[in-house]
Amino acid sequence: MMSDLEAWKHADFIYACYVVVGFFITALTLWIFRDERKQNQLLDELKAQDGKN
Amino acid sequence: MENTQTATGLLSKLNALIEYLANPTRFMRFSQKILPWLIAATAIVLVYGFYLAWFKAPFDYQQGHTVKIMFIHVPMASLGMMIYALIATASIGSLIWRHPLADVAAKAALPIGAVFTFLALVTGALWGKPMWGTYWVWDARLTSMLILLFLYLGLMAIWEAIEDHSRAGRAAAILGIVGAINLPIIKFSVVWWNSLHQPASIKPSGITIHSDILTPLLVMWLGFTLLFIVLHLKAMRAEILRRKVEAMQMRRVERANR
Repeated sequence: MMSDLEAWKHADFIYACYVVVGFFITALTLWIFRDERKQNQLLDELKAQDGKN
Repeated sequence: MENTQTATGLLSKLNALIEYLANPTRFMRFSQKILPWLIAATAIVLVYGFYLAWFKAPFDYQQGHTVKIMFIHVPMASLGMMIYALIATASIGSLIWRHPLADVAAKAALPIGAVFTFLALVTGALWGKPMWGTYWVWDARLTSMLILLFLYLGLMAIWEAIEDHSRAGRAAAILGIVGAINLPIIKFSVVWWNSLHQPASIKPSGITIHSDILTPLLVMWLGFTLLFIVLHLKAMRAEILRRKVEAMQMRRVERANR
């Protein structure tokens, strides 16, 4: 039976995996949420300008 | 007989929902309503999944705690393929039935599928180095997954290169459908060729994973699937709004030129 110390032998790879995934998933989520907000703002601005004219 | 009736009933309900959501305004209203609930469910399931993966799952007798990489790698790889299947289905809907939201759905899923596939390759490499002794081999499964990533990038390039939405949509839909041939190649690559990659552990004939490992894996898979649904709905909303903005700007230019 493997000891717990042995089981954590490749901890660097495990941490690296979770850090990389965390980084890319967060970046993707923020990018998509920001894009929707930006398009919403643009549409509101255009509607407001059209309303003035 | 009863099962067939239930399946037919479910299919007709799904068809009715797809037809109902064919109207972008209705889709925007519907997605606005369900998104807060979906976001909450995603957060809960992912936090619970990470808790199970880090604090509850035992180490594997051969892999040690490196098995924790599998809780990310497996959902990423399976979703990378499922998202492509969704894109191919939406491409058929766009080419044949001209469903107004089909090419929006296909386009919106591209960056998400690309990131998930990329992460499946990276996490696979990070698992491969300690377990196989190498980050990469030109193995059938790994190579076909790399081709899947290139397909995603190619489809994104088409949407960027062609300005006209309907022409870009048609070109992307054709490549999307042709590229679907890669999906069975990925799935059966471990059966058809000698591969370093292990065959499927969850099959109709049985499951070869212990429940202590299987439970966190399934919870993580559900969490990432919910995350994909949230991101996809948000990306679709952004694309619909972008097209509305472009249409309004075009109308302004036309008015100014009169």
